[in-house]
Amino acid sequence: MTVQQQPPGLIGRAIVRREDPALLTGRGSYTDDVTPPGTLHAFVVRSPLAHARIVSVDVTEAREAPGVVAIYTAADLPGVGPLPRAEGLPPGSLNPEFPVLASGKVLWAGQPVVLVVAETSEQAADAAELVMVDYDELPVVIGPLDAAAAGAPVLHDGADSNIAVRKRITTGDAVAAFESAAYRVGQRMVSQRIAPVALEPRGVLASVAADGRLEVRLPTQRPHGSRNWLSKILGMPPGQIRVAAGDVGGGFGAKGAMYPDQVAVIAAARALGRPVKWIEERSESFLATSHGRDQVADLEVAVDDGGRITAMRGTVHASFGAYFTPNAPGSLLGRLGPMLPQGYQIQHFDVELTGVFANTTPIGPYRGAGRPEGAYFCERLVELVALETGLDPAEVRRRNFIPPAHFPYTTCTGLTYDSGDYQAGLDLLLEKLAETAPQVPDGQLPGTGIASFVEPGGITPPIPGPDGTVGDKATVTIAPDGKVTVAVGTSAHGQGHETAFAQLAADLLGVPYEDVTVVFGDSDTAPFGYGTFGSRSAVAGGSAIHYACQAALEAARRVDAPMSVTEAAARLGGITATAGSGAPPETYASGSYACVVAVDPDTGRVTVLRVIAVDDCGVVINPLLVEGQVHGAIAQGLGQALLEEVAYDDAGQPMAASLMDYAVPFAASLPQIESYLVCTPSPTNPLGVKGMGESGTIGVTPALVNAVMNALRPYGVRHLDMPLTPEKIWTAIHEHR
Amino acid sequence: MAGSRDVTVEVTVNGTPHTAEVPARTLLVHFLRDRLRLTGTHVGCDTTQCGACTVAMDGVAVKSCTVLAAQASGHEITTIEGLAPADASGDGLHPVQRAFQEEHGLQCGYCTPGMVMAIRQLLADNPDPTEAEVRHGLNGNICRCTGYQNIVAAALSAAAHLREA
Repeated sequence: MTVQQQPPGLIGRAIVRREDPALLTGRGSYTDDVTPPGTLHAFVVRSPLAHARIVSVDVTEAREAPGVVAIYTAADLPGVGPLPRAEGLPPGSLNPEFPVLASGKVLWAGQPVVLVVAETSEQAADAAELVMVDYDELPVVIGPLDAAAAGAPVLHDGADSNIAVRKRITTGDAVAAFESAAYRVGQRMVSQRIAPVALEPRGVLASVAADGRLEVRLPTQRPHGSRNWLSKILGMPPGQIRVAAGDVGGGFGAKGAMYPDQVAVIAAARALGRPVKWIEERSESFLATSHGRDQVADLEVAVDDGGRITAMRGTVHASFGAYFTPNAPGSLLGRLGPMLPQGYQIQHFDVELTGVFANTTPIGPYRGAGRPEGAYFCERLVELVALETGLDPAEVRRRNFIPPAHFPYTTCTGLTYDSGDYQAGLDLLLEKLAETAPQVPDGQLPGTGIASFVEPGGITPPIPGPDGTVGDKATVTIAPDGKVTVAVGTSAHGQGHETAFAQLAADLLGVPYEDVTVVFGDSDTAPFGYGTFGSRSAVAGGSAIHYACQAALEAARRVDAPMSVTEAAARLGGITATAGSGAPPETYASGSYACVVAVDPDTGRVTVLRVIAVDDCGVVINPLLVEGQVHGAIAQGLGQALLEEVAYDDAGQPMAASLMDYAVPFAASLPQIESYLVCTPSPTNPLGVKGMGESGTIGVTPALVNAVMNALRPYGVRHLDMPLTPEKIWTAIHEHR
Repeated sequence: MAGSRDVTVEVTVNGTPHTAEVPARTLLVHFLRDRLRLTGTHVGCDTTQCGACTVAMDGVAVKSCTVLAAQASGHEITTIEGLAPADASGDGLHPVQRAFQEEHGLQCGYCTPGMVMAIRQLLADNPDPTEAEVRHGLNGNICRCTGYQNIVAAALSAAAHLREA
């Protein structure tokens, strides 16, 4: 990032994080760091098969093993579960029950079947070896197209197919637009199944407090949501449950849901009256923590003789894995599908979205959750339009962008984009791209690719809080000594909200930054909120803090003489103000990214020489944190583009279930990322901010693939699906030679 | 547990001697975390890829998930909790730790102790590394949050600071 002038206030300043000293010295508090006296340890016995009937479960021998305290099968947990079903599905959808422990059938390799609780984790693991489950294998279906096909093995009893949801989005007259098109450009494209791989595995520590309340330490993005889910699953009032996240070692979407294994552990702690802890092993994580992506798109665009894209049509098939997780249908129906037009003035649209169940790990939100896939499919097509029309890829985008004067802009899919200047971002990108040309090693193929994108952020679920109103809440407390506490219902897990929200509140209240303490992540000490996901926290949590600070200032103004808010707090014996975000409309961040690569035709290896990111996320609270989000998301996006894939064999066994064989990027896989900002404030929230935590995965994935395809153009390779491994590229080169 | 026997471990951790009877199969990381409650050393992968459990044994970086506690007997271990000298004036941070904060080299913090311990070793071996050497030197440590960019910056900044010190 270019060094910028520090602004007069705290908003916009690159302040180093207050979170860091504790985390840097080993004083963090992650779930596994807490072990109360008398804690029992759990081990989850999982299905080794992807699809099978459970014939019998025999825990007799395991029960006798040293240290074993309790063993739970589905039959031993009456009244626990199922997990909450999906909501807001189109009519005719499937909405099967997701049990806590499997009974009758198992639907994916990794599904929890039995929970063993013992005095030590080693004893629990040893006893789990003695649990005997007899299975009758059933035919298996893996990919989204296979699962949707007639005659596919059906997962859920009572259903006559695996098609969970189907929705067709139509606007205008796509048929006529295609008939009159000068060019029709279509492609089948896959966004492959990948694993989030937060470095801290999932886990849980549950106990019953002296007053009978259930206390749950959970590495979660959604403390209040988890509490409310547990309330339903366990049949307890929400007030009888406390969920505290503590430090959370990354989430990327996968720590939003309440998982069946965690519920089983919590139910065990409630039944036993003793603390029970379970921490996921990494190999378990690959089986049991939700995956992302796993879609196949067959899409086509119509282009007129001026290079303008007039229509898009086709199908997208998405796998949900074996069961719904809470946000999985929404990622397809509300994100991927509606975001397909991206930042372009496409008028006619006819795309059918089909979501299916398959014998694979459930799909959940993963950094972008439908946004990266929609942008990837669109931006690959735009690149192919450039190829077919002979226009420069940047020129195709220029001719199709929504112009700044047209905001707010309603897309053909019914979304209202708040603001943007897409051409400004692309212009800055092209300027930076032209400044230097990296050295391409002799004999290697140079390639440059660009991609532009739009990122929706700041969603507020339409679920009322305890006070009956929708929105995240913030409470600002100014003590008589002037110290300020800001408690908020969003819940960071690495993003740096303690720092950013302290900047915000200090600026709004006119108090020293050092005097502000920020609290979140605990359903007892933080006010209600939806947590942190979907690039929502600056928009929703930030707005709630803004309104709470305004209310505190208003209280100060009611004192009879003009004075600062801290003077007023001293006079009044303290000020406390709570406010809600309401449901601010979503913000639409945007950006343009470029990748410069060199492809070695002898080995198929891609070297990424440059990554340039231009982001527009409106007003920036702390550019250091924004840049950090850009870097991390780009690394994950490059991981999908080049390295990562959760592949299954025909029997539904995962072929990469450890970090020995699942390839996440290393430091040496990545170049220096060049990050720049432009700013179009959002008019829909008082801060002017836009959610941006997922931009990097959205922008870089198509930019990288476009770059590699451009490098391979001498061989006539039109399209390859990710990940662009050396083997895949080498094979393509040799097939086209 | 059947087939397991206890062994005596005598180990000095962050300057404090400890003697304990532990099952022979106990890994150093579990000994540090579960027995000594030094929970700054993390477990991220179980298969020696991620490096979150990196500590120093007699001053040399090791992945403590791949060392038995019994193997550490008779040796000196330094963990992230003991990295900064106790008499550190001011912020109580080692120069590598301080550089991580200044360069925004951490987000969720889970890989961070291992990263810091690995970079301490990297700079001990090569006090003036290039960016490429730092990136190569971090091949045993995985971070999923930062894209490594600011970790690399922190390593280079700490290297410069340590050379001047």
